[in-house]
Amino acid sequence: MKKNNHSTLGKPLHLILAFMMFLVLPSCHDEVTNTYTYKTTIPVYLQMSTVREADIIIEPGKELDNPGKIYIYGDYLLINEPQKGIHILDNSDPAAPKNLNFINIPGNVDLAVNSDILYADNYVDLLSFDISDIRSIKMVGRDEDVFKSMYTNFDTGQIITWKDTVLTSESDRMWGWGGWWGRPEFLAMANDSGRKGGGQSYGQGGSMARFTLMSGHLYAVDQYSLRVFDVTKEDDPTFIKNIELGWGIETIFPFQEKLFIGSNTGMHIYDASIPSDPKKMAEYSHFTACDPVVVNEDYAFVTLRNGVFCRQGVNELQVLDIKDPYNPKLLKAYEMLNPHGLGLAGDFLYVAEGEHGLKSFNVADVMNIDKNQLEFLKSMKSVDIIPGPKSLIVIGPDGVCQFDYSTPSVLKPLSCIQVKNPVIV
Amino acid sequence: MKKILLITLIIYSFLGEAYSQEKTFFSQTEVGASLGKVKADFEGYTTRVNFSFQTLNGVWINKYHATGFLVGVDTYPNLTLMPLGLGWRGFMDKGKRHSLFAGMDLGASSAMLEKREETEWTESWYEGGLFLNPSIGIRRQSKKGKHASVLSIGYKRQEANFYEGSKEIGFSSFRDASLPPGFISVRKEEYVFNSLVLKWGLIF
Repeated sequence: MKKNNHSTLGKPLHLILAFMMFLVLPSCHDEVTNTYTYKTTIPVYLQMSTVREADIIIEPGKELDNPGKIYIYGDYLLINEPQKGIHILDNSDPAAPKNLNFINIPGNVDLAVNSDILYADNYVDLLSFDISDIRSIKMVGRDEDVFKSMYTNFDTGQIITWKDTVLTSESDRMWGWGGWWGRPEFLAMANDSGRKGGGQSYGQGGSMARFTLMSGHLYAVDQYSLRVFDVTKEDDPTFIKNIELGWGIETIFPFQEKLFIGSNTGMHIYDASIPSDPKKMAEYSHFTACDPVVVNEDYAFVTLRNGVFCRQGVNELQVLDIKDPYNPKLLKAYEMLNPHGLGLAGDFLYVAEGEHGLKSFNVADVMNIDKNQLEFLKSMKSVDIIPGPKSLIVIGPDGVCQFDYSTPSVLKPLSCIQVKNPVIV
Repeated sequence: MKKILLITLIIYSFLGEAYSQEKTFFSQTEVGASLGKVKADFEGYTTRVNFSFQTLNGVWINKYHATGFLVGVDTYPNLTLMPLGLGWRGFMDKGKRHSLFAGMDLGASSAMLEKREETEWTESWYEGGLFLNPSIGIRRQSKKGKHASVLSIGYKRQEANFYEGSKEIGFSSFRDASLPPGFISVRKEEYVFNSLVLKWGLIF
């Protein structure tokens, strides 16, 4: 064959081969573009004096981008847009909520309403608004330096906040190339260029203030302290005292003269029967701030889920006997799929099962909840549930949806408020 | 696009009959090695030798030209791709036992042989891409003329992507178009593999 080749085609073939080698070989290396795109938080420094100079503007209603806390106040829904402000919606007809206006409050993450006065945080300050006429909202007060943990330097008045951003870095190397076969080891974690964002949690934009109202007092928690305000004179909150709690405080909710304060490591319970002087009662360590809890007089219902952040290792609905708040007892745990938030309305419990849907139970008999499942709406993906006086509010990928639950065993869809960036389940 | 290809092929198959060839159908199956250089560390390039298989099935247009669809398997560092496309072969047939030929293959590779890997924290997957593969070679007819063996050398440009993402922790309020939803970070490796491909095969 070779002989034949040489005799017939030898010369041209050799020439062509040589030409091809010449053409191809030098450029014969692989081009690799390595792009690492990551979310991160970058610090933003602000002067509180500048923040305070800026007017708080009441804007016309605008589309919900990514709602945070939802507060039901009479016929209105007050929906926080984290770090941006508060949407006010007219919900007198839950089948057709109307977007009324938006209070532009930079740095706002929480709100509470007490007798027509809306309290909202503005970075380190607490603002009060008169909302007796919802179409003509007026700011009536500013309490300065309520959430001090945001200050980097109290004397110069500089605060630090965190801004979410996406950064990109590039290299031309084939990272995972370890041999001829096989997939590269996971490497993105190794590349830490710029990943460090001060250890802040995502989307919350840094220090979070949380507050709640009970017995004429406003209780505000920031990362490590509980601050008590007397708001019996609504438009003039008076600071009473500061209670150190330890790190990682994330949530606060009141129930029957008790304050449940959730942290990364457990749940603190404070007795607030003397509202101006809450006393520590107990600390449960087996569930944390990332395990949603609802309570009635005798029982606490907690969902524990297995996820990236909340690594409980189980997907369960737990029922705790809290008749003796100093000594809660686990009564029974029910297996769930991936429970997120939950809502309790009388004897009816609604559980958001994440991507699996929404379940409802009759919990009159706490030892047989699994036998009393009423509905399992698999198409209603959900992460949180708020039982309101007129409707059951369900937060999920479809936005903020409302259901008629006057017949608790049969949920009837009423409406969904569209959200630009809905949650992903 | 696909329709046009199909119509072209049908027309070609009629043309094939018009030329009243002995053979209407064309089939070329090849195996070989693809050689390239990859920058795997900061020091420089390492040579890679990978495997390549391809079968092209179609019709003779006339004595000199054949065209058809191709499917194959190519390995690359870390991944295996499945090329799918169109091929053309032109033979300098002077009635002798050996003849030179040139080929051009075009198409896109699928990464369907690579599984999407998912853990609680991460997800990684491959994406195929376009390829271009010009080649030249020699055909040697068997004595009975029923089949022929071929040797070829070619250049193959293959695009592919690798993605690995870290999943979002909890619910984030912050979205950005440059990241797929649900991910906190994504590392994308865009590859253009430039290979010298040496192949041996059979034509029926």
